[in-house]
Amino acid sequence: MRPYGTTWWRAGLFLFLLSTAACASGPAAPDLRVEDAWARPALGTDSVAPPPSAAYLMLHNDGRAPDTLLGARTAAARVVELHQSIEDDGVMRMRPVDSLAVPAGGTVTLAPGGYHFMLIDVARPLAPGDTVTLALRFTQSGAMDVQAAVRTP
Amino acid sequence: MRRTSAVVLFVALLLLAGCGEPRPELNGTLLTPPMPADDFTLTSANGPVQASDFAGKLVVLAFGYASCPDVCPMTMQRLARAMERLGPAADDVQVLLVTVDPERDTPERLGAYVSTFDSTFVGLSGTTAEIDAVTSSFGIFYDRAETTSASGYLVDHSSVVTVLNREGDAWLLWPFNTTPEAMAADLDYLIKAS
Repeated sequence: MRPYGTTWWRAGLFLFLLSTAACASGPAAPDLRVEDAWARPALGTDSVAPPPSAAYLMLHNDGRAPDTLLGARTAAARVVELHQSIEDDGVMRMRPVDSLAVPAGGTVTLAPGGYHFMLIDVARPLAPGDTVTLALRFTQSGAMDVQAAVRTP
Repeated sequence: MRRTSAVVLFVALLLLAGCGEPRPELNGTLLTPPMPADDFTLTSANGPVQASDFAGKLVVLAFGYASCPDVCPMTMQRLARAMERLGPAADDVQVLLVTVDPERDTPERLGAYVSTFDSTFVGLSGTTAEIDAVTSSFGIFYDRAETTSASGYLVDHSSVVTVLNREGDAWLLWPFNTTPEAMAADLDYLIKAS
């Protein structure tokens, strides 16, 4: 038995954890905030499955380190993909996007006609007034749940 | 083939832009004289539809597809707002959405899609050959884009919206970002002018 040794070891571990925590919450970390998350209605009929929906939001990074949005998941759809709509000489194109950088102190906007989440194979019709929970994934900040209100813009 | 017709329309528009009076009162591009278009037969959720069924009305012709969650709803929403603004005069206007995705958009699917924006809108599908005839007649480009998306494929397509006169000829073109207010003002002008 080495009671003193154990105490010192514990104190050391405590100080180590304290310093780690201090570093993690220090100035060089992203600090994300989501504003105005919403999704388009996707209504079907008795014989027609609902079409895909799209979800939009504003993503602010109040921190002093950048982060990267990797994508999202939701129970409301089989797949969520990050897409971008691009108008090119009168032709509209929509393309998957791998990730989206959220600069330190910056804002990234997912809005109609630009970046958006495409909700593919919605699990049930999405009607105005419903809420979709999106689990966003970031390289630095990890997971972040967002409530998107279903509405027409 | 479709690219060619888009180029042909573009050149034709450049030539036409030189004709006619300037129309500061219109937001869209007026074709003077209106460009004759072939009659077409497509299928709505309620059965066959011909362009000539709407003779006597202005027809607003948009192209899109139900699996297009971002851009097509923007256009349909703007058209719905424009119709609201028109009030009773909207009875003189018929909005049609022709699919550029005939493989997935059955008439029922497209009908359900357009009715979420306005109960008077009609969605039209058909065979690929029927759709190709209509798109080339109106200079609309569309092409399937194979991507990594789990939705299978996406469809690139011209975003222009065409207003047909009461005889079914192409009369006015709206670029993608035309606002509902601008559309309503143009429709109001064209209704009174014809």
